[in-house]
Amino acid sequence: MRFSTFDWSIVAVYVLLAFAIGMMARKRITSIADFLVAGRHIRYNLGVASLVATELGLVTMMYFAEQGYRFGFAAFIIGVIWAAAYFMIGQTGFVVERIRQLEIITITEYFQVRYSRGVRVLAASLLTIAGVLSLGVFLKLGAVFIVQFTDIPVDSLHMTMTVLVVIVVTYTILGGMVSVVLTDYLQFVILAVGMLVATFFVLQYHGFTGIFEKAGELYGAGAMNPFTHPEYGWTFIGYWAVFAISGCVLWQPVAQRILASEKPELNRRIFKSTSVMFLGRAFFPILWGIGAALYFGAGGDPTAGMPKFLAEILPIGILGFLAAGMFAALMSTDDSYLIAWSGIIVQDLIAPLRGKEISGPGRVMLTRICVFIIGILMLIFGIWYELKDSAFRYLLDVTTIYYAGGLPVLVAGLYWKRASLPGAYLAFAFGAFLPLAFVTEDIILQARGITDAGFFSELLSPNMRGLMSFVLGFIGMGIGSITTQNNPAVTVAGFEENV
Amino acid sequence: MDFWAIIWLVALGLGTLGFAFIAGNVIVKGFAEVKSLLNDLAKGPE
Repeated sequence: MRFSTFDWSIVAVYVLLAFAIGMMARKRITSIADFLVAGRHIRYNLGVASLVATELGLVTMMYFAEQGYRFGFAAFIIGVIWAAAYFMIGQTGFVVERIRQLEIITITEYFQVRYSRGVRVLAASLLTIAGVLSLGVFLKLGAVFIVQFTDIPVDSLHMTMTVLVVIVVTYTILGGMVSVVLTDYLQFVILAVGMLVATFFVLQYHGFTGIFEKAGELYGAGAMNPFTHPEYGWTFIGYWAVFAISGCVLWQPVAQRILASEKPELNRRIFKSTSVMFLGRAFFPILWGIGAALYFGAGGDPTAGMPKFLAEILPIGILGFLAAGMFAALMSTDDSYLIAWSGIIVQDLIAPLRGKEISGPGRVMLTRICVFIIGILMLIFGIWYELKDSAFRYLLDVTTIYYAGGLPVLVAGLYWKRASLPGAYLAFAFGAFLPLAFVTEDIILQARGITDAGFFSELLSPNMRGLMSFVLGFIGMGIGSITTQNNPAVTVAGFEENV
Repeated sequence: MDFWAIIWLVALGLGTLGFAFIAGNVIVKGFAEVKSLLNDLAKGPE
């Protein structure tokens, strides 16, 4: 057993520190805006730290490492495209600048004023489905990492998941977005340093150029080209590009940070800096995964390989530091996501459907109750559901349920005067159809104990299914808007009047 | 070495340098912003 008492004590100190910050932040929260968007007081450096810490979850590192383990350096294309999308948004201010000017708390709130309450509720429902379905996998992969990395017995996986949920839910309920942003900073520090140190040790073990040469032998030299790689190729690149742009502007945990920035123009700077950080976010764990594949051989377990490999090569002390960093990564993502989905449920489902105004403290209380319920749901789903393909593929499918319709509805709403209500409904219906059908079929098959591939998984390849969903979403928006009477475009001033 | 191996090697090197540079800046300057955020929230809405 390599994970020592000293390493455990480093992790314990970190967890206690995070809780202390959560408790301290609790006293500062007075309104729903404080709880959900930290009172819109976030400046540049804290904005970058928070955005990176949120999107740099333990699950992210696990699924990137899994991609690296299975497919080698071709997986680097995932990071390049994601970074390019962030840079493009930062350079142009596409969507993020206009949306921040509206002073809203959730993106779906915009859908109500631009289209209707029904569109807002539909979007929030799809977003909640996507969010909750993905959270179960977050928890499971996080627990797999901790179990493999710290030598906890593998049969304690479910117990580890339960403990993780209790810690994350308690701490999120206590502090809301203020504590999330503050601990994001702490987590950013530990994570950024931990990732660089771990990468150094992986490169030292295999050699900086040696790892490329060994990977060439293991995967085949031609396997480094993402354009001809069977797992990726042009269809994946097209799909991933629109997916990445959607991730920048639609994903509530990211949008929440856009909406929390002190000034609208700050978002462009934050996105540009974050784009560079996101190269490392993908490159480092993919590299660790490749290092693990070279260490254990291609026949090893791609999911458990990376933590097992790092636990083998890192020295005592660094192990504890990285474990604290990874635990930080888990907390920073899971707490942000819990609060994001709870915010959506309260702001975009309960409040509009109730009709009657809910008081500020009432909303904070409801959001905390939702955090608790989602925590229970993610634990049950995480324990029950078994992934058939890679975690990365699963997360792409569930998120596309919302993105494929959400992107055309948001972009057309902001930039196309003829975008209309029927167009918005059609975009969501067309866009969600394929991924929703695939995921639902998959869950039903698993519930019945059937291991064969279903109709929708055989209908199209995963990349084509994703790309087609976005195409259908845009077609839906186009057909619905062109064939019906259009709504007047809502400007910032018009938005304020409507509110 | 394969063409794509060289591309990824250079990308990894540049990505690591960029990551380290921005992370260093954010860590140093972000601390002051954390203190400022707490002060702003303590004052309440203006």
